[in-house]
Amino acid sequence: MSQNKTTSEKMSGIISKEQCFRCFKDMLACSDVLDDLWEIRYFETECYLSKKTIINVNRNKFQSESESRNEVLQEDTSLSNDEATEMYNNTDCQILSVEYHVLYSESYSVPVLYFNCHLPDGRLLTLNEIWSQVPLNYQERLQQDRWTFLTQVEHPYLGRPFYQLHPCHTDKLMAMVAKVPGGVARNYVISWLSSVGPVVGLNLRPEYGIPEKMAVTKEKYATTADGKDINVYTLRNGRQSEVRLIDWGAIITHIRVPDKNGQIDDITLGYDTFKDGYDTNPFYFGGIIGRYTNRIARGEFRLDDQTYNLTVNNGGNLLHGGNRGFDKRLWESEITQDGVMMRYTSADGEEGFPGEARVNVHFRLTAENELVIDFKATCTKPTVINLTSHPYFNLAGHAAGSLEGHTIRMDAENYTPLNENSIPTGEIARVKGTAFDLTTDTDFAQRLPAVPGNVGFDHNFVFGKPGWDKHMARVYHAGTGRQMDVYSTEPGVQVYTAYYVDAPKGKGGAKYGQWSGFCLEAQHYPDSPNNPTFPSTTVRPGETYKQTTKYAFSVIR
Amino acid sequence: MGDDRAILRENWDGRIPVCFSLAEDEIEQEKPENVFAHVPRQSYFPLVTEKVSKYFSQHVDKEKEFPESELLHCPGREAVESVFMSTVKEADALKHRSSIINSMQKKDHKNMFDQFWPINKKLMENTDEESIKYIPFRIYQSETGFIQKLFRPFSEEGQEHTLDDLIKHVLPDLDEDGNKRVLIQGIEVPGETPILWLSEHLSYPDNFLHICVVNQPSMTISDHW
Repeated sequence: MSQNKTTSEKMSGIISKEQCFRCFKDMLACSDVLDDLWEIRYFETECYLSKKTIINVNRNKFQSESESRNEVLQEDTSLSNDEATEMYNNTDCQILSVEYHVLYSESYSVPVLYFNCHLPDGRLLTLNEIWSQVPLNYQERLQQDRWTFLTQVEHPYLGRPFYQLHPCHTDKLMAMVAKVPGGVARNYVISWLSSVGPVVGLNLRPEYGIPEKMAVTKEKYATTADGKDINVYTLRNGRQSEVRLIDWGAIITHIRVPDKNGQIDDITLGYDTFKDGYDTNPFYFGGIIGRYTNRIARGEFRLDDQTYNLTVNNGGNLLHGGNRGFDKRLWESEITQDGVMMRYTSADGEEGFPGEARVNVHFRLTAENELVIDFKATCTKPTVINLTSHPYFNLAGHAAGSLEGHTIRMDAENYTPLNENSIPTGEIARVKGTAFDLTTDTDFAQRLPAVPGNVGFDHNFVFGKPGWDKHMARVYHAGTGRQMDVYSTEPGVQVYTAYYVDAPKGKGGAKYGQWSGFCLEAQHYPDSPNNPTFPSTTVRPGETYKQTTKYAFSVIR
Repeated sequence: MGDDRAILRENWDGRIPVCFSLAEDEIEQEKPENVFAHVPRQSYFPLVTEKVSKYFSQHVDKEKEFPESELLHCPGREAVESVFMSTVKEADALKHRSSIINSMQKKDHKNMFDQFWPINKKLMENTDEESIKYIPFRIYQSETGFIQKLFRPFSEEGQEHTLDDLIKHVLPDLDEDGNKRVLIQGIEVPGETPILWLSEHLSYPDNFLHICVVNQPSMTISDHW
């Protein structure tokens, strides 16, 4: 869940009552999934968490108040009545019934843990007996503060005696936790309870710490011309973001993310249905491009003294894998534990490429609103592979129609200039002093007329060696506050500003025309098979092509 | 800090007449005589009733069935000290976001129980930079647990809140036609008294205002008198 805390609250380790109650409800939701038996109770307008359970401890240890062996209170949620009875009759075991309550303290602005522990005959444990159960390592640490740390008090709502873990240090503890990246597991209350609970036998299961699990659903989307099912997968991360994919072309059809006011919009171009345009996908909206993305000059390359002739489908060159690249093929697909896996086997000779290539692409939407795409490919013969993802973005919303108000920054100092056939000359040129210099925040729309060729950007920017995960670009739209950062292990990224797009049948009646969106396609450089100085795209049997590209969405208020 | 030292002195020395009698169902043989004691107002029963307990325990077999669902155990003086310190800390959390209690050394915490005044002075401070945030108070009515809520000493407009304001805030449904009396330190305090002054002068050593709301004795009884 989103942590809507002010910075000062976070730094001081306290939490507001409303935020705490939200945490209670979120923890209850986890508990329900895990069958962990927490309940929410109300006292007037205040809500609190409560749980009753049975624990068993070593009877010998228990009876001796002074000595305690190195055993920890174990919570046994799996005890059935029979098991409990058997344990009761077992002279080594001592059953205790424990009741835990978590309340919000207005005085300290933090949650507080209350508990009572009874013997089967109903007698309440004494403070000393409770202390004897505290795990040895905590006992040593807390010995000095014994009387201040664990006390018997009047329950603020029920008015009867309860033991309490004193809240006076909770704020310091949580301020420290908040400093550690990823320190707060899922929510404040869960984090805090998992830290202090073990002192009194309350051990939260690790599943509580998992950020609200991504939900992935699958539905039928359409049918191909030859009668096969196309499925649509919806990835939700429980934090207002949503991504949709279809297994035709492994196409990303929707990316829905919030703006600075929490308003959620779809920021990728696409179609409403398969027949509206994904079947032919002339502009490659959202697809996974392969076996070779971008261009290969004249559709021809040499590898191991052999010349290969590929489909020529664009201006005398191969473009984006040929007539029917990967984005126009039906992939196999399945839901994985954190996303969707798409698989495609490209036959030996498909579009002229040698060898049978097996490709896996995994999509994952994280709790931090990142769309992470992992690519892997192998081949039965030496071949060339260059894969990318091709969503068109418009941070103002897919239907905004132009790149007005977008600011771009690219961390690349070099690019590959093109010849008149749109093929790289082989030179790596500095961007400094040219229209390609985006190293400082640049008004995207206003830069377009300055780009040579009058077709806006359709150029590859150079970072260097492959396999190094790096930040490539940041695009920001001030009006909505939306920002996208692109990271990849690829050595280059194609920037394309939709000069050729003409799609009147866009989603929701939108008409996508020239400049209506932008692409940032992390890739190896175009025409690498014909440029031995470029990072190699050759993949031999036994080798694995690998890359990860991440689109991270955030809002700047 | 209040200049009304006389009031602080009077409070500190305040006492309550108490009659201790053994519960009917505990009596084994003869009913023992009741014990009367003038108990210090600013203390806790377990600290002042040792002799009383000893006296009554001669008349019962053993302490059976301690009502542990209703009463806090008191294994010793440390338990009382623990409750006391815990309450003091809470008061400071309410007044000063714990800034004062946290800046005190541990030994001051420990000594507070015995050498109250010099240490308490710090907690009672209401410096200009950091005025008191919330007034520590608890309201007791018979048959329920105490009521404790957040309440500021001043209104948004800067007006001092009075005792009446506090009672209205916490017990809005309180009988308006005078059937209830509001007592602090045994006194019926005028409703227009500023609550900040009350916090500084009529708080108990644990820094809380413990306020009792009791029923007005009925007119028929006072007729008999």
